[in-house]
Amino acid sequence: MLLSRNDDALKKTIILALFAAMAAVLGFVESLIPFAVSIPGAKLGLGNIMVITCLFYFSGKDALTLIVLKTLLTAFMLGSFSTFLFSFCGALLSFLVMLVMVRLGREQFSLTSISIIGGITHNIGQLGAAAMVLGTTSIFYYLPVLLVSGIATGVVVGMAARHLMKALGRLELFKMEG
Amino acid sequence: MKRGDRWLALVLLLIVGAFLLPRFLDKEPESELKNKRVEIMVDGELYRSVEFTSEKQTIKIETERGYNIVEIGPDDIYMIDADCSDKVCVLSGHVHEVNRPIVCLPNRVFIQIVDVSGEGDGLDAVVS
Repeated sequence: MLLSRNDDALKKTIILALFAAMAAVLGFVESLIPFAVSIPGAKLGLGNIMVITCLFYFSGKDALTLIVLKTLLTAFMLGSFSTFLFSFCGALLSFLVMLVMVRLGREQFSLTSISIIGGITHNIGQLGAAAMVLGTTSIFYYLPVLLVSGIATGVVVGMAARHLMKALGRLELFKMEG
Repeated sequence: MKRGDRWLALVLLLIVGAFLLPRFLDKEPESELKNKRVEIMVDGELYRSVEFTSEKQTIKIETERGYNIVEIGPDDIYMIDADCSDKVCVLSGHVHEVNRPIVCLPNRVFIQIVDVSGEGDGLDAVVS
């Protein structure tokens, strides 16, 4: 087929869009779950399931597109534009660190480790941005608690991502890509 | 568990331990109430510095982003209400520890109890 090259690009775009939509929905669902909300910045980070999966199947550029879409869509849905900057800084740092781990350390680190580090760095990025905007480092008071909660949610997210990838692996499409 | 995982677990354990141990070990003597003040920061700048009184005080912080209402009790701070999107500040509850902030990121509001007894020794001097 003449269009086969374009077809592949189109397929990838559609899959990325689907991933972003799923990540946004997961972000919405988790906003309905009252999880340790009293700790600023603590959350389940379910959207990270999609980011990790994306890092395994696609390029870093595609994963970056995904996190931009994810954070934008979530901000639109939850109307939380004032905190967009903070979630974006967290997502960006987490993405960069996970990218390095997936590309260079896939042999050394399990999916769970990658997801835990992703969760923790998300919190660190968020706190860092908040500290800069608020002009105070006192906000790092919450870092230890966020580290612990990041480890806990990282384990859950890592498990979910493993199941998702197992299921996706049965599809012809992802056999090619992966 | 892979090789890197074990190292990671060890490092994380050490970091978390290093953070949490001091909080268990040295229980600092609670500083006296008269040495404590409440600092309200908006956008990184001091909005108001309030003294504790025996009666409850209610302060409304109004900015172009929205409003926050903080209640300053005899010895604690509590965000009663805010028009932000996540209400993390309200859910933080009553805070009486020094240096433990209540944060409202959407409105860029930051409130904490500070100990001013050591003021003037340079390090902890409050810039106002």
